[in-house]
Amino acid sequence: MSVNLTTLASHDHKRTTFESIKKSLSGPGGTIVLGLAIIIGASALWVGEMTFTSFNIYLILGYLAIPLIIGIFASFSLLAGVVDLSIGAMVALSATVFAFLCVNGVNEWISALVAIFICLGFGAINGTAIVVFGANPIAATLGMLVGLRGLARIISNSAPATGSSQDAISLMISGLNDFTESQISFMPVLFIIALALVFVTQGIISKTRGGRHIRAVGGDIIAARRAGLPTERIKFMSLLLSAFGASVGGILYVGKLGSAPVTLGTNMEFTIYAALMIGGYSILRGGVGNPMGGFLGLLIIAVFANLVDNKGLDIRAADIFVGFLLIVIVFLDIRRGGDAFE
Amino acid sequence: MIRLLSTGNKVPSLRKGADSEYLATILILLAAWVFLVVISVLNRSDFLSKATFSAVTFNMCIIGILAIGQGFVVISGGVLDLSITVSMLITSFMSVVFYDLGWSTPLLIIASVLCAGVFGLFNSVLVVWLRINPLIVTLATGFAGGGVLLIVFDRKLVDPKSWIADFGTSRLFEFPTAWWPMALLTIGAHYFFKYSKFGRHFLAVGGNPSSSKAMGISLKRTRVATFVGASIIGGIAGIVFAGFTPEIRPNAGTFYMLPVIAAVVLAGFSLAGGRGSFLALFVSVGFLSTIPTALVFFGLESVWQTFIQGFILIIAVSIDAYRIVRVKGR
Repeated sequence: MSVNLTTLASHDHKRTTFESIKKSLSGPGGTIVLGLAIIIGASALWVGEMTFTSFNIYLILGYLAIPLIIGIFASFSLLAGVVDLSIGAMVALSATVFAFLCVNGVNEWISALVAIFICLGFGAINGTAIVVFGANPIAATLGMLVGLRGLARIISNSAPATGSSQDAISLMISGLNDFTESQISFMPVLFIIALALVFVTQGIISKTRGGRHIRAVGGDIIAARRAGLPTERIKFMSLLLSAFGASVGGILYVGKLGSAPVTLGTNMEFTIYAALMIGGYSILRGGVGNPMGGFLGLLIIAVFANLVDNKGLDIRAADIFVGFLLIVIVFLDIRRGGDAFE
Repeated sequence: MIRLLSTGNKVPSLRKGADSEYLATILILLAAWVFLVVISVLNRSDFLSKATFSAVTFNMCIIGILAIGQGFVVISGGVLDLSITVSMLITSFMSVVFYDLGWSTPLLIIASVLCAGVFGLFNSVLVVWLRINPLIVTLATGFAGGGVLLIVFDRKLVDPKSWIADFGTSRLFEFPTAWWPMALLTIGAHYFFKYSKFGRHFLAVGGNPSSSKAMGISLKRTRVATFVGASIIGGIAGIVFAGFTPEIRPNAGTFYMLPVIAAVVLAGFSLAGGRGSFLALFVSVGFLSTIPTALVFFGLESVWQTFIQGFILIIAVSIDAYRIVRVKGR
């Protein structure tokens, strides 16, 4: 895997084997793979053989699948240099709208379409504020985060009481639930789809003209504009893509959980962006990072969350780990010549 | 994001008419505030009452102090401190711990606020010596800090007979006693950043770090002072918070984060640093703190509050950005 990443990082130079091994250990890919090896090793030492049972691997991958789908779509906006902090809230909104319509007797497919379109609408508002008016992406999408959380709660409160709690709409959609829970040997189908998405996105980003355009806009917007790229449209589209990913994620969560809690996706934006940053993306500048790194970053967090879970520790311990890891990874990136503060 | 990081083309903070620009912001915010009050009164005449006044001033206490801390970071070019609510909670928790140890009141306040200062020092070490962007640093320390607080303290009960609980419920000159620290801090911050030499250093660093450095201002020292100072102000909010919260929980901070950032942006602080008025901040905090009460009088549930505040923030940053683009002529 590390060799694969290295070739991606330095696709225009031919290197000797020794140089490429050295490079792969000190490069971003090497850090991620090393981190992954350390965390899996720690899990193996601490939890024991249980780490490698097929059921445990199924748990890890199942935990990973939906955030991976959301994260891959969100990575487009990071690459274009606009961070979208509202994805977690959008997951909750999409789930709530979908569940609300289903509970009120609307066909599931139509409900899903409506939920996706509503999220795309809010993605377009993000895009208008950031691209048309030039608002700071962090401030604008932070506002969207809170606004949509409020909206999800408003919708959830107005739904007929279905479960024990007012804070969630409960419904079991058997077809969707079967789909989210289905597995091929120890691999959840959802994870296989997510992984396929990673590879497709990897191809789009590194090989196609569209992918290069997105990287160009994120890397140097002025140069991209002078080169005649439709920079504003690319940024706008990338925000729509991240909204789309979040809305699909929300619908899948309803199938998986059998309910749409209003707190769904709380802090998810943080976990996903931390994972993407571990994987080489940056929330402060675009044009860097690749989906494979993002996948490995998310895998590190998933393995750690699983470790915490198996040891019966407080789940918030994972938050501490993610925060710490984020600082270390960003520091290593700066040591390698990433953009330092001042 | 380009705007956030570039230091080249920025509106200079000391140019002619800078004060009148803040005056316009203050007047617009005041007009919005008055408009909100007027439509609320037209809707229900009993809006202008002692109960409303007390609800609004109570809302202002904590959001106001945290906004001053956040404004301090923004104006000094520290981007944003996303961990300021953790500073607040550290002080709240530690004040209860010290109270249980039987410490005297002044000692307890100073010691618990200093604990927040140590947290700010940790942030500034990561920013200054590891040279990591403050946004990433405070995102990480805020997230990890919340986890640490939950594991170490879980939750703490404030003794209802203690001096602190008394402070949170008593009144002084018609206002809640807890309102006064915010008012004094506002006046202090206004004079500090406008007239003191040290205060102008922060503005200079926020406006243009490289020329400030050329002028002989130590960037490192200013950054450390910024983050420690903001955390200490957050700590003062923590004392007030302990005053009117019977039970302190680590997740209490998330409730304040957005109104605080919204207040700072609405007050015309530039997220690029170097621009902002603490008097405008006071008005914007007042305006935002009136919204929840007004919503109740319109018969809307309190959940509408977050929805409306979120969209006010989006509109505010859009207008702010549009204004800057127009000034620069693109």
